[in-house]
Amino acid sequence: MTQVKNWQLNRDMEYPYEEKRPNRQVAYIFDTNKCIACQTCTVACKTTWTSGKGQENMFWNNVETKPYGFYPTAWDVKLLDALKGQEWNKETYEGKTVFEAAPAGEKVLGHLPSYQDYANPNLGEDEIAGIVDKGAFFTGVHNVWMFYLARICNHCTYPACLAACPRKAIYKREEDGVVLIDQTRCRGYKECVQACPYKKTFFNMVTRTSEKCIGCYPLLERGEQPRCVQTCIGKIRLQGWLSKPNEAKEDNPLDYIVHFKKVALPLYPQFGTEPNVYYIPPIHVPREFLLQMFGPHAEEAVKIYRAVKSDPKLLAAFLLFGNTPKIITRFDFTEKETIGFNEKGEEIVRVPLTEPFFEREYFDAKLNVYRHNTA
Amino acid sequence: MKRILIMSGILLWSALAAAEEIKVPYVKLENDFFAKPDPKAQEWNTIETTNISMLPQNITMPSLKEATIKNLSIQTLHNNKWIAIKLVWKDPTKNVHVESSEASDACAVQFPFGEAAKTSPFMGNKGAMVAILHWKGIWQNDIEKGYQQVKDLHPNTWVDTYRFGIQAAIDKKNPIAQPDRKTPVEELFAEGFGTLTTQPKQNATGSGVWENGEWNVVLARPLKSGDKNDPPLKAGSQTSLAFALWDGAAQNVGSRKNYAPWVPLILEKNR
Repeated sequence: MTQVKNWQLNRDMEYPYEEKRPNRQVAYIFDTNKCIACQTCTVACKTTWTSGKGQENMFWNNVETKPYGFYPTAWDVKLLDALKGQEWNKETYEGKTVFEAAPAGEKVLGHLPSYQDYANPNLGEDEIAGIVDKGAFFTGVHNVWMFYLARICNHCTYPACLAACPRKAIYKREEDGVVLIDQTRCRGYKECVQACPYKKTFFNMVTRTSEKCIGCYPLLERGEQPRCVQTCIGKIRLQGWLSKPNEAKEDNPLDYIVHFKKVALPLYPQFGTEPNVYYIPPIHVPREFLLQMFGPHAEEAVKIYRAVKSDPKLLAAFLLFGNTPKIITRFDFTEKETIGFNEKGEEIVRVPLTEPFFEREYFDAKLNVYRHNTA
Repeated sequence: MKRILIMSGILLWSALAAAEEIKVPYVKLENDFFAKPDPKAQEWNTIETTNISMLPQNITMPSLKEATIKNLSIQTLHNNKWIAIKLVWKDPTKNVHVESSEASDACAVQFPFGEAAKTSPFMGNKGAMVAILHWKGIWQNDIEKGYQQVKDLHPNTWVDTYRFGIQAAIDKKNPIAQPDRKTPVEELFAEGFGTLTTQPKQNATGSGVWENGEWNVVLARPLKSGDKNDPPLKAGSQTSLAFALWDGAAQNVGSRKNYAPWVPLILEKNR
C-alpha cells in the first residue's frame, strides 16, 4: 500500500498503487433535483451497450429511488454497515476507506451481490421515506421525502475494481481517466464486482468475464458527451473534464460547479475511491441523510443551490446542462445568455438565462380558431 | 517486502515438499488412453495412490483463511509418450456453472521449467516460469452439455431481443469465453502472480467425473510435445509437480484456492 492524496477526504489515504492522475479526467454532474426517473438514460445505455446474452440484468446506468431503492439490492447500506463509523472532522474524513478497512487477506472491503440482487432494478421505486400525515395532502408541504439517484460508473481516480483485480486486467486511460476492463485479459474472478463500492462492475455469465460502463469513450474521443448524458430529457446531466483541484479553471463549467462553488458533491466520498460523478444534492432531504451520502459540504451545497436565482454565473453554468451533445470545455455569459465553447474555442451552444415568454392572442384570426379549448 | 515474501515462501515449500514423492510408473498403453482419458478406467485400479494435504493460499491477496478442500489423492502413469495425472478429491457439491454468485469447481497441476527448488510453487517467479494444466467443471459441462446459456441457470429469463447485443470477450477471442471449447483442460504458463497466460498451442487433454461427492479428474499431456511452452519430460528422469484445487461452492476463484507445493515426480524407465 502507498499513500495517495484524496482531495475529497482532505487527506492522504492508502491505495495499492501510486497516485497517477490521468491527463484529463472524465467527470459528470448530475442534478438530483431535476431527475424524474424516466429511465431514458437507462434505456439509452442498455440499447447501446448491454443488450447481449448474459447482460439481461445488467444496467451500467440505473436510476434508483432513495431511500429504499437499490440496484443491486442493498448495495450501499451493506457496505455502510460493514464500514462502521464514518466520522468527519469538518472537511477531513477520519473514518476508514474501503482500502483501509480491508479485512486480512483482502485488498478491498467489499461484498459480492447474488444473481437475485440484480433481478429487481426497480426495487423501492417511488417509495417515500415515511407515512404522509393525515390531511397533509391538502396543507402544502408534507413531511416525507424521496429522491431519484441516477448512477453510472464513477470512473474513480482510485478505482477499487482496479485495485482488486489480481490480473491487472483493469486500467484507467491516461487520455481521459475512463476505467476499462480488458475483455481479452479478464478471467472472470469477480474480484472487481466484489470490490466496487458502487457495484458498477458486473459479471456476464455468458462471456464469463466482468463488464462495466465504458464512459461511451468512442463518443468522448470525438468530442461528444456520453449517451446517458445526451439523451437525458430532464437535462440533469453535464459531462466534461474535471481539473485537479489545484489546477481548477473558473471558466470550465465542471470546475466551477465542483471546485469553486462546491455545489456538486461526490457520492459516498468516504468510500475513498475519489469518484468522478458529482451530485447536486436534493434540497428537500433531511440533513443527516445528505451528510452520509454526499459528505460534509451537503448542507452548504443545498443553500447555494437554493440561491441560484441571484447568482447569474452559477445559473449560466447550470443552463449548459443538456443543451448540446458536444463536450463543453469553457463557458462565458452575458446578461442574457450563457455560451459554451469546445476545446478548439468554437462556440457550440448559446442558451438564454431566462426562457423567452410569448403571449399569443386568444383568437387566431388567420385560422379563424380559438386557441383556448375552454372558449 | 516482495523478497521477504519469496524467501519465506521458499522456506515453506522446501519444508513441505520433502514430505512426499510421487512415482510415475510406466504402463504399456495405447496413446488413445491419453487422448480421451477416462477417470474411471480400470487401468487406474493397480496404480499406487499418494495422498497430499492441501493448504489455503495465503501468500498473495486475495487469499483463503482456511482450506476449503483438505485432501487430494494422486495417481500417475506414463506410456513413454504421454503422462496422465489423476486427481481425486471429496466435494459434496458439484459446481459446474458460473454466475455472479456461483463459481466452478476446478483443479490444476503445475510443472517447473527449471529446478523446482528455484521456482516458486505460487505461479513461478520472474525468470523461473511454470507450465500449468488447468481443468474446470464448467469446461467439462461445456463439452458434455453445451456452452452454458442464461436459460440453463435461469429458465424463466425473458428478453425482447438480442439482435443488437455484443459479446466483447467472445468476439475478442478471450480464451475464457470459448463457445466451441474442445477440451476441458487449458494449458497455461506463468512467471509470478498475475501473469497467468493461456498457451498459444494447446496439447493437453483431460476429463472429469463427479460421483458420490467426489471429483475424479484426469489430466494428460505428451512427455515431449515439441511446444516450447511445455517443459519436456523423460522416462527415467525427475521433475516436480504442484497442485491447486478450487471449491465452487465456497466461491473459490483465482488465488482464492487450496494448494500443495512442489512434490518430486519420478518418471519410471520403461520396463
